[in-house]
Amino acid sequence: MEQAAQEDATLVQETMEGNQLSFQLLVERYQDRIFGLVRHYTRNAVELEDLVQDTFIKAFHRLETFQHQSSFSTWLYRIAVNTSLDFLKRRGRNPVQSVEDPELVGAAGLAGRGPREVAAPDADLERQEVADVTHEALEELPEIFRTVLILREFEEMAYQDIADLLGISIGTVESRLFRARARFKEALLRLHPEFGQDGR
Amino acid sequence: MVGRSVELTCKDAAPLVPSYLDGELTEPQAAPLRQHLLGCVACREVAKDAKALSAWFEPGSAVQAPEGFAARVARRAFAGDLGEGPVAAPEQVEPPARVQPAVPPGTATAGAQPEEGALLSFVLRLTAAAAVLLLTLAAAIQFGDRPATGEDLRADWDDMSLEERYGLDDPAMEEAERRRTAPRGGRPTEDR
Repeated sequence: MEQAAQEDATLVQETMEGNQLSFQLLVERYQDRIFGLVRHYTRNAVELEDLVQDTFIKAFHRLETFQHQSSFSTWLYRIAVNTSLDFLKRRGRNPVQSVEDPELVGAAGLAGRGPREVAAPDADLERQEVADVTHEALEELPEIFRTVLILREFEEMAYQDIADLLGISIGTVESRLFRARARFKEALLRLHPEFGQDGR
Repeated sequence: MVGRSVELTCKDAAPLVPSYLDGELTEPQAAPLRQHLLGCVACREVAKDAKALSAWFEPGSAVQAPEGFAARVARRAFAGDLGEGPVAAPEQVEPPARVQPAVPPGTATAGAQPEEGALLSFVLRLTAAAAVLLLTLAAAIQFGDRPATGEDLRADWDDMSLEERYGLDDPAMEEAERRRTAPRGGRPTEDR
């Protein structure tokens, strides 16, 4: 077991034995990463903090179920993603998923809209401007596509980790990513045609 | 379409491009694709477009957890907060049964709650014990001198003197008792 994983396992064990300080250290190890992940689901600072807090508290109460088969971070990410998706569901977001099967739509939905492609963000754009445009397009996506894109593109997770986290096969990860990217491109061009470029 | 690679056709190569850019292909898978991309303008364009799209996913400004966040979360978790919904005050809820909260050295807050709980429990137990003792004493005082059965009661009654039976010792009452126990048929004497 790698050193980081070993340290996680030790902190988990000590937490289960009742050591509050060990759990605090565990939170400190992952808090920035979880904040970074969850902010893709809400831009409200109060909601963000509540969601991250809920993630860690749920993790605390489920520590016994952590089997060490996946890394602690993958396990924690799963809780964070599920907490965020539950939150969005409670808030009534995601009308797209309710009226169509996102697995069946995807790239086919772009047919007939021309070969336009998305240009890379202009160098003049501020980093935050790029992030804002991206987030705006991401919000248009059904959650299963948004999540897989976030995990791959922002968190740079390997396909296997995404598969473990979402409980799907690697093949499904590939397929979902393909469709998610197509949907993202379509949303970005629809919302911001100025970032399009003519295809070949 | 210009598929020059001997190893891969464009039809085979294009679906591999996203995985290749994501670094998910093994070297035996990546090598023929690289070879194909070197010779295929169309597939190079596919790769270029995919890279342009990925460029939009640059991380924004880093997010940092608020000061003291971890300590606050740990405190709430150990106080029994279940997450979601309104947050209960830590001192109003019990810690989860699974976890025996430890008292880390130097953490006064964590240590104060178990001490207060133990004191309250001790006082309650003491009060209950005192109440039981008082009830027992009261019962003993009330019932301690009473005969247990009817026969005991009769024996006690027979052993008693007249004065003891009625608690009276004045002559008028003695006379009244004598009249009550005199043989029937006799005329009662009248004091005039």
